[in-house]
Amino acid sequence: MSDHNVKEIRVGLATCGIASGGRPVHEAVHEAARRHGLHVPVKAVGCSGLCHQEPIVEVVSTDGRRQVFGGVRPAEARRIVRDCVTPRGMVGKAMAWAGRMADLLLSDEAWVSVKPFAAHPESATEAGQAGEQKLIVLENCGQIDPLCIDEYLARGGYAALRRCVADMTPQQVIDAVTQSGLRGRGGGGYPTGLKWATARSQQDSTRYVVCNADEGDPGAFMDRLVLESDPQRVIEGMAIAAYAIGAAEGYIYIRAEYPLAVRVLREAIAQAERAGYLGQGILGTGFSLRLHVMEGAGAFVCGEETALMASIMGRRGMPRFRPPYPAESGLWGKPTSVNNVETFACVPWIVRHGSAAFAAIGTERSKGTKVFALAGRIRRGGLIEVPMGTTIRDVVENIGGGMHEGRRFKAVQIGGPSGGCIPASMADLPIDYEALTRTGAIMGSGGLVVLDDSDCMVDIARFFLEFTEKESCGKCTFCRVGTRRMLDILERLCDGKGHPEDLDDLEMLCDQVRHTSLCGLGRTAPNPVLTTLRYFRDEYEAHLQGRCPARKCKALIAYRVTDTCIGCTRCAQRCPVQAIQPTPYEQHTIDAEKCIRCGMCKAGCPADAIVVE
Amino acid sequence: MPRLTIDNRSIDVPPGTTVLEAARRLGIDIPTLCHLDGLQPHTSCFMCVVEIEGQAGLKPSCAMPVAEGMVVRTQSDVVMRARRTALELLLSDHPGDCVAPCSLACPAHLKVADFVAAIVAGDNRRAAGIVRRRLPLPASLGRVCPRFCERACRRKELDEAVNIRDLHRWVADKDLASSDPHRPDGATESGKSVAVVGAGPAGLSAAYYLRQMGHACTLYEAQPQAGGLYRCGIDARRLPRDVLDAEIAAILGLGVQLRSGVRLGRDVSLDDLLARHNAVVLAIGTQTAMDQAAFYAEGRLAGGEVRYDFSLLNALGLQPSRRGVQADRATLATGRAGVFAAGNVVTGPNYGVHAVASGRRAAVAVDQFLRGADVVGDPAHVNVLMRDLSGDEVAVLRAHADPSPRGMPDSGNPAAAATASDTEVRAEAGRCLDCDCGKRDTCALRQLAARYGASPTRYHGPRRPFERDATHPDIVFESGKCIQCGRCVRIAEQDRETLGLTFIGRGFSVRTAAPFSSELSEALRRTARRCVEHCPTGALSLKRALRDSGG
Amino acid sequence: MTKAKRQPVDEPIDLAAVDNIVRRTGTTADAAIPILQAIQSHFRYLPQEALEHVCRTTEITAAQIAGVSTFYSQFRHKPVGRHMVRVCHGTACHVAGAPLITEALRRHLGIDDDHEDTDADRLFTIEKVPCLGCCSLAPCMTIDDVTYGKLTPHKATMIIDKVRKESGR
Repeated sequence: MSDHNVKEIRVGLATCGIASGGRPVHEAVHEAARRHGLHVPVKAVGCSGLCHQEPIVEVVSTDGRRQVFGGVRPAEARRIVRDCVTPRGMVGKAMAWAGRMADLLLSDEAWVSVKPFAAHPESATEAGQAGEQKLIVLENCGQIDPLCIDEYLARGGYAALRRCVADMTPQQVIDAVTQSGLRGRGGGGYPTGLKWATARSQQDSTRYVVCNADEGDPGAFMDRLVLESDPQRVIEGMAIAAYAIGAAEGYIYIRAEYPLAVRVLREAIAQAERAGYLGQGILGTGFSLRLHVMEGAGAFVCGEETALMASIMGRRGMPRFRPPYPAESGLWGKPTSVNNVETFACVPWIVRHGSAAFAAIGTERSKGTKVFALAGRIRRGGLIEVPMGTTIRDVVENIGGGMHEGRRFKAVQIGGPSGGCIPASMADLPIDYEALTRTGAIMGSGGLVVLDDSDCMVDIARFFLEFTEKESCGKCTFCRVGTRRMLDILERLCDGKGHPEDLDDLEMLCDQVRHTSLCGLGRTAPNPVLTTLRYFRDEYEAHLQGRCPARKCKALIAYRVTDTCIGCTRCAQRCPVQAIQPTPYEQHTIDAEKCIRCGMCKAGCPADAIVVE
Repeated sequence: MPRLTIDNRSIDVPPGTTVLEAARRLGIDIPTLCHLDGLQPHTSCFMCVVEIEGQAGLKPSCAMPVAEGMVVRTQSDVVMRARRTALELLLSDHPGDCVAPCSLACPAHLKVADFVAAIVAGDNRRAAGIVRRRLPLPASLGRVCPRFCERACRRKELDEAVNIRDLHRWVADKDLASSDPHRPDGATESGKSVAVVGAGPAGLSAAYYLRQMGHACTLYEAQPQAGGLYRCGIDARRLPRDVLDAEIAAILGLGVQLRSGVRLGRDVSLDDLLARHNAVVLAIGTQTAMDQAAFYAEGRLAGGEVRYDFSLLNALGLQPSRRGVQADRATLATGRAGVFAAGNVVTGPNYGVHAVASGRRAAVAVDQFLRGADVVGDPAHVNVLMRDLSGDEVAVLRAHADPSPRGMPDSGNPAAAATASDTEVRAEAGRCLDCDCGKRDTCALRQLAARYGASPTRYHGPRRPFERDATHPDIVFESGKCIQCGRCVRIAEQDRETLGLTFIGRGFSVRTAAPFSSELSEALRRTARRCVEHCPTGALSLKRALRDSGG
Repeated sequence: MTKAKRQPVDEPIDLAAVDNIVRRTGTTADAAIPILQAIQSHFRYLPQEALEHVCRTTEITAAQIAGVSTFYSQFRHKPVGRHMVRVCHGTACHVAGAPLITEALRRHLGIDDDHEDTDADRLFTIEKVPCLGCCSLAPCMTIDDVTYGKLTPHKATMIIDKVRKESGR
């Protein structure tokens, strides 16, 4: 038995961790622990949100201190374990290789005084970076083994459900949620309590609760991460909702593209059933709930609640006109409350800490926290959770670490294909439903992509329109044909073939599609276009004149080799269309006729001698 | 019972009623394409949108339930614009021709495919009737017309154009020679009378149609005989006088009075005519150029500058234009109330087919004038045009075409054409590709487009290819024209077709089709005709032989 | 004037497997998507014969199954290559150059036809997917179950070559 003060070792094995090579790291930790006789749990946890630093290994000491290592490879993992077991010398040892691996060591607030990035609020608080993040939804993510319900219980799990069924009437639960000010986190921001109350008030006593985990926004992965890292929290939230509205059956509709989340969720449901938190007579009461997992089959529009219900019923995921709203007439015509993963994940916290605690966080009309998938041109991407009202600048500069060297912050794209681009000049805007809506963007489900001066805003608008056009269900005229015609114009602009009247036409079409489409997909599809038109009109006008200021649109740029070329011929070797003749030790040239602007030459040039004009 | 207000009118309706139903009870017309009584609302076309006070965006009235105190507007500018945009978007994705290129190219818009189909059916009398609805002198034109139609004929993509001009000449000749030539139905006498000045092709045409509309009609002609340029400008070898005489006789036979040897401005004044008649149509041609008959070729004055006698126009109190008299393009109304103009007097020297087309248009406008209706001329039509076809599209045409080569000699040689046998003529008619849309006259999309002033060319992107499936014995499916309204899908489902129809794919590329690429005849065993009847566009139509080609 | 008859199916389909799936999943209309998913995971695509068999043995109609199986992008009606290459085209990957990755891969595998997504050897099928949820690794792709991040066009083509080599081709 070695001398150590380690309580457990955690390895991040959510999709992002696995994708970054977390599995071999996990095996290495296991193997090393066995070899060193370190008999502590080596847990496969979800993700703590530090996706950009995966694979992550976290060593938790018996006194609760935590040491987070990022970008770990198996060899380093073995060293981390070895250093854990060295008695007493641990501090010195850690200090020693902290110097060697300064970039590897992330947060080690107690043992070593380097603190490159304290993203986890608990550690952040200790490290003196308080106030940035506030964890409600993510409080367990990356801390517990998602496949072990006992760990969830040890952190206060299911206490909220227990309190609801034991001490509260359904109406009291609804009131609590209403008073907390919780609004739908899927994008719309509809008051959750009100939705539940509507469902509860229906005559029909067969009712359903549905969890919308069809996270389809490109650039958003909050739901995946929560379900992979802390599935019981979502199940508990659903159980509370079911109790509140009087549902005995529920569905979790989840993207099939998230195989790990699906697996974790199914196992978590089985564990919850065995533990008596789901199934017949929950916690010894008359309340019963059966949960089904339904895998989506690849249709963004199924994030729309009526389409989602059609899909559960085995139909094409085409939205229908509302009213009637699902809370009145949903699955098989029965009252159905459809809520998003993050919304459900907030509910146990609200019950445990009280509505007032939740309502104390945030702004006047947007309460609590919001989880964002932070990505794009920032130094530190990942999952973050901030109180409503945090400014965009805080998120980008403090949490995200700002832009890469030499780049200028240009805009944030928030809300994905339904959202919009907010320019850097408005970065002091607080994140809240109404404030975002006023800019022309929306809160959306939480994708937050940071853009810098190398990004073309017309191309961004085209990118999102291409997405919505492809994902439109094809039912209503405005969305089916309207988004196509908008895309036609944007494609023309990016090809440098725009007509002067195109911008006005585009604006007019946006306006019509926004007001007249059947569902939210069509009604919000123009947002990326309208916001870029509003804040970056100069870029549209430049495209009309055949210029792409960010040098992104292929038809409007050319590659050229400058005289810093060292004649290494690497570009010529990489060019897939032989547009560059290899001329060793001489400056190379690019045949503009043959060049397909694929960028392979530039990416491979060791002398940075290839420029885009 | 909820009480709501629609366009400032109140109505009480039972709960659960839709806004559309409530509006209909008030007699307020809201256009629909995807809605069909008896089927679940589909809310796809968004034609029926209305504005509801206090609610963001526009709502489809076919699915919107009424609510107490609801205030609805069905005719506001926002609503009208949305409907027009919906139509323009649908039309922008609608590969097909509303009207065959030949008919559009013909200045008189002769309904070629209709009369050709009558020839194929062996019904010459009906063919003659269809032809005369647009061409009052089909035998004469059948000899001198420059054949704009044949230049546009899509059959040229496969081999040679259909010999359209010779076909209508053949129809007219045969009809004139028959014991019981076609005679149009006349309307009841209106008690109004019209003076038509000039008995050339334009004047004869105007008189012919005015008589059919029930108006008394007098032709004033300066020359001793009617016929105008056709009599004095075209060689009798090209246009034998007995043919012309027979056609003029047929027109006069409807009860048109001819007063020849009467010259306007010399023998009679415009004021006299206006005093005697309720309206005047000036079809005086390029009167002063009559002496230059030698310059006429193919019915049109060729070359040379025409010196118009503007002093005459001044004397008549009419506004001159660069070519002749100033007249409205659509109605041919001149600046003087009740005075209309037709033919070369408006256009300057032009072909006879233009003149007869102009005469008919003037007649339509005069009729509107005499009935006290809005004088708007021919109803406006919206035409979707495919223009140039791709190779694949030509292949679609070929797959459905009778492969026979031209069955009649070219009419470059009138004598040869005249001797064509019935069999040859029918074979030639059978070569027609029937390019008109099967729902040309009944398509709801086309009618609404005209009503809302929707332009088919407002939005343009790459055109989707034209497709046609004629495997079903009764019906034709042209999927590109489908607007995804889902009526047929719902009808087939309601009638429990084993296969039925379904939506395939999604987004812009969504298509309505039979499952598993099954044949239409398998998919719609019971409901094919009902689907055709309710299809709001030409996507589903009856085969030509089953259509009532009323023209 | 008849349209091309249905495409002949290369190999006979194991309908017993379809029966098993139906038995496991259910025969009501709402089982349509799980049935299709199970068929696809068994055959790696949706053979038409299997779908027709489902219609014969369940309440699911031909119109429903044809409509549903063409609506969702997960479903494929054509056999796929041995390896599925999914290139993420999420926002983060897009701005990081995902279009160049897809283009480079298609060019590298000689897939010219816009309607084609599988190389001539039927070894790789390239699919653009909306988001793999690995935004911090942008641009990224997965080949079968393995995720590759922080790609460049060159790196992506090298990975393809490596996988090809491991497949013994």
